[in-house]
Amino acid sequence: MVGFRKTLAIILASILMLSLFGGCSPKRSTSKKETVFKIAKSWDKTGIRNHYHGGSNIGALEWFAVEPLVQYVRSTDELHYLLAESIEHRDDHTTIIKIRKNAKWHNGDEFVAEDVMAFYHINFVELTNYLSKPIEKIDDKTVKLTWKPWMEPNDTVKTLLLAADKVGSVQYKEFKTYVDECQRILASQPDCEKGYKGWAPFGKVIQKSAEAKFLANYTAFKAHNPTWFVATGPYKLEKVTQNQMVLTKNKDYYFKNNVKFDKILAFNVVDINSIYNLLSNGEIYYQDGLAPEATLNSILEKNKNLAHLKMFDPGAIGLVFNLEKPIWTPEVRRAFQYIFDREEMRNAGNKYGIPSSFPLIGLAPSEAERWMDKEDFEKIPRYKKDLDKATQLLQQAGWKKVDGKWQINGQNVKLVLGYDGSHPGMSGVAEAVESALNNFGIEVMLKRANDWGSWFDTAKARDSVYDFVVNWTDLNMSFSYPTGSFLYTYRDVNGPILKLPTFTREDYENGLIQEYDIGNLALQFEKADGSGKFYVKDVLSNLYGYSEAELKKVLADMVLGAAKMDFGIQFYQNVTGSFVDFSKIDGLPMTDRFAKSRNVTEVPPVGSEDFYKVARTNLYFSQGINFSLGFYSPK
Amino acid sequence: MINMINRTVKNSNRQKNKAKESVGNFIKMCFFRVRFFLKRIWIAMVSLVLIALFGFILIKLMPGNPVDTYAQQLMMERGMKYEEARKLAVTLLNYDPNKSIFEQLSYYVKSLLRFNLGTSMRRPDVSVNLLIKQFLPWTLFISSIALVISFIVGIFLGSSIAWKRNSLMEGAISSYIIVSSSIPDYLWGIILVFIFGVKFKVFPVQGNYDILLELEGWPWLLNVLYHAALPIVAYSIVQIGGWALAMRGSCIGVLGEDYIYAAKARGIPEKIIVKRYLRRNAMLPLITSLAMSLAALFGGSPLIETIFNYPGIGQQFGISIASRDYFIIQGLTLFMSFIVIIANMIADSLYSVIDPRVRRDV
Repeated sequence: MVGFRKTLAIILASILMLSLFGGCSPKRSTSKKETVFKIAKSWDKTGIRNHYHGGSNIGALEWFAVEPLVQYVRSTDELHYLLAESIEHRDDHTTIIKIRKNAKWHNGDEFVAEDVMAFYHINFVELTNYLSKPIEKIDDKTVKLTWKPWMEPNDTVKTLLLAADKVGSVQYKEFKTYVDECQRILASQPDCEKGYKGWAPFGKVIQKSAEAKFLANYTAFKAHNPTWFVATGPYKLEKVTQNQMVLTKNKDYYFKNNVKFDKILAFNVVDINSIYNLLSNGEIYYQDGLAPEATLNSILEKNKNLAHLKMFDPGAIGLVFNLEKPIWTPEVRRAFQYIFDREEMRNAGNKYGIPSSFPLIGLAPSEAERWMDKEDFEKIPRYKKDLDKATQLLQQAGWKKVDGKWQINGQNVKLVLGYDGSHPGMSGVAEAVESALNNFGIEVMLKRANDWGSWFDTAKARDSVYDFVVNWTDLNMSFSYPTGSFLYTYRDVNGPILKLPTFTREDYENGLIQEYDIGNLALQFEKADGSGKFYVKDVLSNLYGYSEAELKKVLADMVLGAAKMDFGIQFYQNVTGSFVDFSKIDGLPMTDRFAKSRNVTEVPPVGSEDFYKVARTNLYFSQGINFSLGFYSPK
Repeated sequence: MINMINRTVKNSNRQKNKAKESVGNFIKMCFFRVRFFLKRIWIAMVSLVLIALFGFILIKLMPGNPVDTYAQQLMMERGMKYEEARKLAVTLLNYDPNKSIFEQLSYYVKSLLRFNLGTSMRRPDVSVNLLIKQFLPWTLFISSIALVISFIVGIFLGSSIAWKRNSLMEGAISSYIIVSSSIPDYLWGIILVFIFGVKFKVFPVQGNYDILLELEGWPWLLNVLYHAALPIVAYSIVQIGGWALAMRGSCIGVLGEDYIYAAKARGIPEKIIVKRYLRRNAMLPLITSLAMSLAALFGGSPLIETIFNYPGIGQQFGISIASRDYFIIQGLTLFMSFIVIIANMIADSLYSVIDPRVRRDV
């Protein structure tokens, strides 16, 4: 027993030693002289490539080191000029971009016109499809873009397109070999004809035979690993390990006086519970997103220096029907609009969300309110729970209720509802939908997918097992201009789930469409003024080019047209947010509300001053502008 | 004289026969041993081939496809439209979903023959070999310390409760064993993080060392130990129970042996009996279990490593599964299986050395 006690004592002593001598409490981990902003942001633990296009997740470098010409704030489209000093859109289908005089790369080289050209000439991003020829250099700090006249976006969109990409990520000097090769291959491709609306970056139609060459060149570009991290932003990469990344203030930055924090310390954390732990014990000062209500309050309770601000997420969550299934007749789709108490659905998905009474319209309510004419916005049909109305519509569709269960052709109705189980909001909504439908007499079987990929794979498949799904009915991942949300709804994600009709080769052979429209959406809506029908694809391809007045009219056609179809149900507009440590950050909005409650539940209304300021607190939405423009300083 | 000569000849013949017999026995023994080991190696190789094949097929049957998963990630990370993100995902991925399964299998087998366990679909510069080199040492660091601590503590606890049966101590230790073994290690992890990381803030809640301190040498090692303390405790708490129970069972068997009674009768002090007679003899069967546990260390624990955000191989395995990085999953599965098979083979062979009955059964 003495031996046992002795060993036990040694083990305990060792553990104590670890905590006392090896122990470096978090408080001691930073120098007093330096101001450090601490966040959680994940990157590849296997190591990062030294450039944005290397295929590795670069973590905090994306926010604080790699910059665009202009930064837009997601959900508000507020613009902040960074690498570009000015952007002038001229009447002759050209745009002149002047680069900041003192903009430099992190290796000390000047950021010049060739660098802007290099970015676009190797990355055929969306903007390049609107240009008729390669970008031209006017002088070292000026470039000229020439737009295709038949596809020319309006000035607002032109700037937004320029804001969509991290242009300060390809230094021509560093990547010359690949940029030149890419341009060489591109130059050998045929020019597109005037009026051609298919994929033709810089006015060139890429031939099948050239695709492999482009891919090989891009693969080599991706694999190139410079000795320094290629960026221009307010913070430079100092060092990175598997778990921590240190960024140091860039002393050559063009707005160096605005950069107030000396360092950024990022923790590589993927697990959300670990992030909550870091927030709770004050090891990080910021985190975007929303936690479940109880968790959120518990975090705020444990860390009295934290507050949580809420903002609109430009997306709505609800149901999307699989129209391939014969069950979804117009009456049934309309009946479903009346079955749900949308406030209950909201509570199940996101307590802080804002209930919506709309069907699927292609835009989240806040986006529709922002972009549509007020009168048209009021015309969007609103639905609330009305089981009598739902019953009446289902009976019109030939359904019968027997012993409390709905039947079609003598068979009980059984629906399969698919959802992405990795999204807590979707899971909550799926369970609430099951309960509501079961209570109404419609049997529902839930099918949970482990992740978005496998869920989407099943949902978009022909003969999918899902009869309907819980999903973002409308979502804008990019800038707030309505195109992104419409593309998500009709073409990219919900279109394949809804199984919307598409044009075939036969339609092309019959002269109905151009060749590039094979596979494109064949969906038609009625115009809002009742003057006929229009193809949704035509609106989608022209949306960037409409004037403000035209856009309002087109939006009315698109939104009211979609509302008539009842493709799905919007349950609630999602609300997101950000945790901020007000004891460390100076420059936060709505601080007067913190005395009342640090869980600020108020979502600033669209267009208000706080609407813009609060959106900026979410670094996922605003990236590094709080740091490059001096909105934040250490306390 | 003739008789004498005959006797001498007979004796020398007998000796020759004996020598022949012993040489024969030796050759026979060697033959059996070689045959035994060859059979074990053969079984191990067949198992490995089967595991590689099963792994390949099962992974192909997993729902979801890596292109969509990666596109969704890019869409979230870079605020892109889905179609643009998907285009980029196809360009960035080191994977062609249009290749037939036979082409993929042939590529996989060729890579294996070159000792390349696989390359990441997302990062052509990241191979399974690199992951093993980069992350396995961290996993082995915490799990081997935990194994040693739990083995030693378990041995002492197990022998103590076996020796002092029906005592208050046995009740207390048995209760501890039941509680600690019935709660999984990741739950202990969460409890420890909450108490020591969040509530009292005495240990870090995540990571392997502090980069801002810029430490080197011993101070760095101590900082590493400081970060490893909670994961080690989480592992150890659960493992101690298992070792203690195994030791208790083994000790109870040994306590019935004649030499224990003889030692008691000879008046040998209790401390010596426990230390030299009981513990040493009862520990023998646990040594082979220890060998198998050592092999299990190589797999790490995705859950524990995720809870403590510890950069181990288990966490990487979890990340690869979540991102559908097929080649990494295949490679790591094969590597872990290889270690277990080799450990199994060694344990099996050791057993045959210790216990001749195992050899004779061949």
